[in-house]
Amino acid sequence: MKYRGVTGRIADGINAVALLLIAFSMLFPFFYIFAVSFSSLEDVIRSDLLLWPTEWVTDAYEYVLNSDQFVRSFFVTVYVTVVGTFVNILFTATMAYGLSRPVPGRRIILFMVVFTLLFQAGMIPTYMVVKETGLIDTLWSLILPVAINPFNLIVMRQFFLNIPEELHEAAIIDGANHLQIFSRIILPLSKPALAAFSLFYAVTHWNNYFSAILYINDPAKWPLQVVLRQIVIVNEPDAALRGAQRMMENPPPPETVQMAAILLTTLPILFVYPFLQKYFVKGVMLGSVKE
Amino acid sequence: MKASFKKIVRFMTAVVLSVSLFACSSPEAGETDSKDRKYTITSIDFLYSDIPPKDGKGIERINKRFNVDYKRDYGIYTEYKEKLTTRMASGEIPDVIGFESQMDRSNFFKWANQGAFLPLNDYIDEYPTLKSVPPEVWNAVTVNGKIYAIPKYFPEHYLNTPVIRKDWLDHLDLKMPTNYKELEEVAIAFTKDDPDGNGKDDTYGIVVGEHLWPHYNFGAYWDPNAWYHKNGKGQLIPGVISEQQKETIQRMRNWYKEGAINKDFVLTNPNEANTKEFYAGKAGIIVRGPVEMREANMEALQKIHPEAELAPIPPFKAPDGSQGYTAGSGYYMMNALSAELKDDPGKVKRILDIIDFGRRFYPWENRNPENEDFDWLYGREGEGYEMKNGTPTLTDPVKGRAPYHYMLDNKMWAPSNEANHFWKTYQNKAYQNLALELEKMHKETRHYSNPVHQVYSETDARKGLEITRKLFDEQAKIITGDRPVSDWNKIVKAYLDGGGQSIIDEVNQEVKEKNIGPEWK
Repeated sequence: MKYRGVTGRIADGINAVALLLIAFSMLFPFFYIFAVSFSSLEDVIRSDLLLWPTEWVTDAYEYVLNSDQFVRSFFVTVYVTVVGTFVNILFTATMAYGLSRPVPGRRIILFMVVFTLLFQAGMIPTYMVVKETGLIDTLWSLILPVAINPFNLIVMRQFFLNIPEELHEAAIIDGANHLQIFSRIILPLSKPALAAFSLFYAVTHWNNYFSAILYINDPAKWPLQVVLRQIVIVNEPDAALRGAQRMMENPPPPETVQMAAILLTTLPILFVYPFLQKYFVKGVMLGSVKE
Repeated sequence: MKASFKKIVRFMTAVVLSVSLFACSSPEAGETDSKDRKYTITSIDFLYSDIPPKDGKGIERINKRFNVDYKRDYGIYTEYKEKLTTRMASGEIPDVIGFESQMDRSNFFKWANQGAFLPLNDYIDEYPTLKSVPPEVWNAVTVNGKIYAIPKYFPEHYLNTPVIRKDWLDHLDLKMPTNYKELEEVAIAFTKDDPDGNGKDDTYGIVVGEHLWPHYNFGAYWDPNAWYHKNGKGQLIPGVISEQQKETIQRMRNWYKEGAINKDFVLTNPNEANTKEFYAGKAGIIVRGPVEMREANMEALQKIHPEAELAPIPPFKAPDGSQGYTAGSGYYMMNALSAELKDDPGKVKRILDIIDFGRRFYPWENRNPENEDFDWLYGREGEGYEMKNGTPTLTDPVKGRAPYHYMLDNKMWAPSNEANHFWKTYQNKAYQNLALELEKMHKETRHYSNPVHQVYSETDARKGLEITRKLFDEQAKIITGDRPVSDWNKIVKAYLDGGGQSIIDEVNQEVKEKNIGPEWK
């Protein structure tokens, strides 16, 4: 193993180059967005490929951060993400725990869960349920209909099943009830799982866009992604998109505003990633090995 | 026997009761006091601009002025179709439904055929701003003789037409081209004779983008989007498959060979064609209309070429003697009313009052605080708008202070194209001048009224855009030399077989039904 042939080294080199290229192709858009967002429109127009602003302009950021809508929607998204994730974890964990115990009828319930994994009601029936439950135009419409992700539920149940049965027995002998077992034994043992699922859920909430479009009519309650979309449209140049190819000049955008908004929207969640990445890996592996 | 008698009595009572109920809520009762009655009016639409808050001052003002409880929802443009479909399918139909009129025609016609909308024919004559809509525009929103929508204004004659760098023409001592041969000379001179005089070979004639944007033509006779020529069967056909288009493509092939068209145009999107090519001072010809040009672009160009000056290229004289550009549909976006309003004429009238008010046209000299109605619409001077150099400018739309931001229709219906004086909307002198020249040119030349705007073809709505794009892309390949000119018939046949013939059939059938004649105005 110590000695590696020439071919081995060449293969390593090729791997490294390929991986670097892939990494670069993923980082490049961010870099470009960053550069454009700090540039003047003139620079954007003049240069074929802008990699670094010639002069630093922060107008775009001032514009975006000064808009009430952007700031308010930021807090809406933070709220939905925090509350939503809490609700997700609460319901997913309790139900997973219940289903991991030998309770009567759990097979049927489990089947119903798996069923929703494979078959889903369409957009319109779901909308009608949300409407009839009076959730339209409330932030709960972004939280309750997606309170439990069936896939996460099943994986979490699997995780709970892997906790040795002896722990349960010991706890019961010590006089613990189910609530106590759950909160004092199961949950503390499942911290990595909870962290991973929190992240999955949080990222989903952060990026939530389409259901907000459908369920929220009040612009004051729009989350960040929706407001971002509108900012992009207001500054949208593309004639084809406007369907007005034959009628209007497509006002080329304050592209910088688009880019600034995109960066501001992505940054917070971007910063969370590297620190919690280890949990992600664990999360993916959860339940994959059964003793 | 007794039981059935009881049943009958019960039934009769029910009938009598419901009839009397019906009588109470019948229109007469409502109509007598409909002026004082407060109506709740719901509506949905989308905006290209910033979306105002739900409870802005503008809403309050509308409530007070029209005695209504006004509820307006705005969707996000890109997902508006989904939102609208969901609302309609779930039975949550707003009183007034806004539509985009070009991309999303299929839903409008589908729902109109299903009877979801209120026929408006009887109301048109009561409102001046509805009465002034020309018949060809009504045609576009008419299904089986019933008018189902109120179109919003867009000047019929002010589509994008070719404009040229006047300063380059002057510098090279060239004349404004009046036919394709002169155009070719100019385009090649722009490419080879250093029109900006910087000693570098960094310019070319005509900027083109992907899908052959912007469909250059110098008159309806050559317009790929105009239904002007006829095929062997006497059917009107879209210009894009005409012999004239074939000639255009051949010409462009030659220009491309000479370097007079940007080399990588197939990969250039319209936005890049605008900003990175034309307004970066590289190209000499592009298209522009007098409406809503972006001044920041021109300012950017002027930083590179301070003397930059643009002028319209007037239409060329066609072999058949015609001379003029194609007219547009004459509207953009529209409002339909829910069919559920049919028993409530009082409410319909209130809605139309609001629509009519937003459409009233004020000449420029009346767009100021002295005009009470205008002042109200714009949310009072110093609050909803400010006068800047005699031009009213709305302040901060996201605050929603002006009723303007919430009106069902806020596009003034101008009595004529010229009456708009769009040139007055520009601060930039070069753009002001260009707009003025464009408006003058359009006033002095005739326009071909494109029959396709007045009809609806289901196939076109479903896949017209897709197959036409593909056709343009194949034509682009002829220009770049990737396909021989002899492939022309093959390309056209692919379009016809892919749905083009159905579009032609459907369009021609309705053109016949609605009795639309090709028309120059």
